[in-house]
Amino acid sequence: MRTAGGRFGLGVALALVATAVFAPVLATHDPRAIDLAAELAGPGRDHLFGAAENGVDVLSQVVYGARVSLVVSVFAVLLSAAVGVTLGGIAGYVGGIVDEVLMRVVDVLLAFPGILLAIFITAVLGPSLANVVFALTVTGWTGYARLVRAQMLTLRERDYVQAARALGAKGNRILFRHLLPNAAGPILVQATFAIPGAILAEASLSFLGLGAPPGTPSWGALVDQGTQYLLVAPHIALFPGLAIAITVLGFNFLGDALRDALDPKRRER
Amino acid sequence: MTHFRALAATVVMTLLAACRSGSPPSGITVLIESPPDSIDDRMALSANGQRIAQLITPGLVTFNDESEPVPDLAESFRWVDDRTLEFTLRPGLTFHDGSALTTADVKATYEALLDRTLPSPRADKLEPVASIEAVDDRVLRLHLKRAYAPMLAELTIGIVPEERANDIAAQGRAPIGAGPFRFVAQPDEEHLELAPFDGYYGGKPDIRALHLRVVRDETTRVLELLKGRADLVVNAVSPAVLPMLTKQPGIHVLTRPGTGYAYIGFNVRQGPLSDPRVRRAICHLVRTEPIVEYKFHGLAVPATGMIPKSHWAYTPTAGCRYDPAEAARLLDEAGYPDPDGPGGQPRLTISYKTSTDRFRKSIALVLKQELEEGGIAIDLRALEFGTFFSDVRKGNFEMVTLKWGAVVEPDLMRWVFSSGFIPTAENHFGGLNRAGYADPEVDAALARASAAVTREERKALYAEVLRALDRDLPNVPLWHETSVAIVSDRLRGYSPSAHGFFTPLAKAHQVDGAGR
Repeated sequence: MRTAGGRFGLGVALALVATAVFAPVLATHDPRAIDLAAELAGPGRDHLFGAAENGVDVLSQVVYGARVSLVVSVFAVLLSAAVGVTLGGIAGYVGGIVDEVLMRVVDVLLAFPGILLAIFITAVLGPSLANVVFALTVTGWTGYARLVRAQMLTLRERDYVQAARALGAKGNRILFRHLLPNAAGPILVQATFAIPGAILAEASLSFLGLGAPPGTPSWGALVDQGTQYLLVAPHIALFPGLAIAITVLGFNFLGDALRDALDPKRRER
Repeated sequence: MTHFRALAATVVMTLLAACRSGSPPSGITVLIESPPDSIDDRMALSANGQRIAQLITPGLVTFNDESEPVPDLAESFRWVDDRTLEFTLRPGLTFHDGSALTTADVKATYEALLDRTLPSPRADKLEPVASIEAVDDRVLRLHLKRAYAPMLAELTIGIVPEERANDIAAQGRAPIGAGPFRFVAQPDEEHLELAPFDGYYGGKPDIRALHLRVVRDETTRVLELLKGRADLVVNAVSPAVLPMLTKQPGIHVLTRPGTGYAYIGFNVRQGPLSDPRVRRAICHLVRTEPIVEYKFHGLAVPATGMIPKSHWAYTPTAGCRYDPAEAARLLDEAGYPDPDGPGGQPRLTISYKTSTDRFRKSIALVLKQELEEGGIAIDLRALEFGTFFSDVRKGNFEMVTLKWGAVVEPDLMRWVFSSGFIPTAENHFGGLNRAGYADPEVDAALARASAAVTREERKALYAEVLRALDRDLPNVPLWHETSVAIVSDRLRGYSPSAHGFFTPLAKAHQVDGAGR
């Protein structure tokens, strides 16, 4: 976290968490409150970021939208990581036919463009945030599986693993005590990079009307709404668009910084 | 550095593409929001298909802005008796290919539909016709199986040359009619080129060429108008953008009270909405005026029933004013008491489906809030239009918001409210009485109205129906949307149609060098 980028990324991540947690304090209005007379009103005293369709306050929508973005991205990343690490760990550690089968499944899933598969899943299951998380998990676990498998393949040949095996340690113990903890660094970096991906995917799905149900504050849904009024009320797309851009940039910087911090070669420099 | 160059190149290419607009094409460009399903009037179901087909293949009659049938290719018509309709064609009518249009063509057009040789969705509408008699080249008689007043309304079907009567392939590819514009080319689904027809009975339209182009995105449609690359958009720009457009030089926003009818539809066959008291409570909780004022910017008129005020069959009804106290009383009476006072637990929950159309969805959110203020929790679902419409047809809904594009012939009420037209598996879910409403008196009045000949008689019967609907509320009337045409300076004399038709183009004229 010594670089400016790292500090900026950490700041953005903390700010996002704080915004999500303290949304009721930060929001100036109920994010769903309708005030028809204020429809599409520009930024001003009553509505700092202006008002959207039906006079809904943009600032409050952006603030509460942080919750949706954070919850969806964190859950999607945690679930993807859990599935990916488990299957990747098994593939790498067990090897043989298990590895072959699992990696071919990964290849098949990677052959589909992720967002297209997510669109398909949410279109079939119906628009809801839980389905967005599910869709992102289905498309997201493959990266972790590949990463962890590669880590396993190199780590299992290390001296300390061989030593543990020679001392009679069982497979589970080796996997959980020696292999996974040593693979944790790259997984953490991957997860940090995956969060902005998940935020963008949620925004994209909501933009297409496949994410949050109508009325739920979501950055993607708000940008979608804003595109229709770009000529008369550009503020509707501008503020959630900025929120998405800053968050994604911040998490990418954070991921970079974490990678550098956890990479022994870079640390030495 | 390579990345920077690539980025710079992309930016330059984008700018060049944006500048490529150049001068507008030499005719008048009309933008539509979705492609027509067919440009053969007999096959078109979509609004755009019908609007375009009317320009190429007019029928014997059309509707004026007061929704009265008026002669089109016919010079006049009269009821000889209550089962015989006589038409006299205009003299010297010709098709776009130069051949004369006579009663033989009209007879062939109708008979092809009556024989059911064509898979036309409009064939059913001619069912009351028993036989067609061509008295001479210009006089034609329709003999009906029974007295059927709405018959005239069905005769808007486009007349095609006799040899095309059974040929939907050729007519769908390059239609021939006797309309003000003739087909030139349809290079793809999204572009259609028409040219003014010299032999049109109303005189050759004063427009050099007519280009119809599909632009799906609303912002792009508006930008095309602003850039001077489009001259006409009808009912395809949301009201919120119109105040900005009215301020633009060279662009005019023209309006005319419309005949469309927006409503809250209920499934009255089951659940809480089978109780008219619950439906009335909902009616008392809905405030249409603020929606009309702020969402439509005044470009809609609150509705009291299906028939708009300008229509000859209109009858004022009591309606239901905004009255939350009365709504609460009705819900108590219907067995839905408030469990814990205002603001807490809802009295009941109703599922409300709408399409994903942005504007309709935003209105649904307003209605949801209004109903929730009255203690009715709403489970709102926005569905893709195909799914939504399939659910509506199959009765898989409790509450929806929908609209009829144009209410022209009041006999539509017979299709929408008669118990004989409830969608079922037997009729392939084709019935229009999607509410499942059934009232013997309404059935009888609607049947009598369709057989009555004089307008006074029909109006009295429709008044009876409108009052019964106002009492039972199988749907809650919301508003009639105003017809809005946005025209450029290059198109003069365009007077928008109440029904959103493109036919006023026949009387408009193109002015070159005008505008920006």
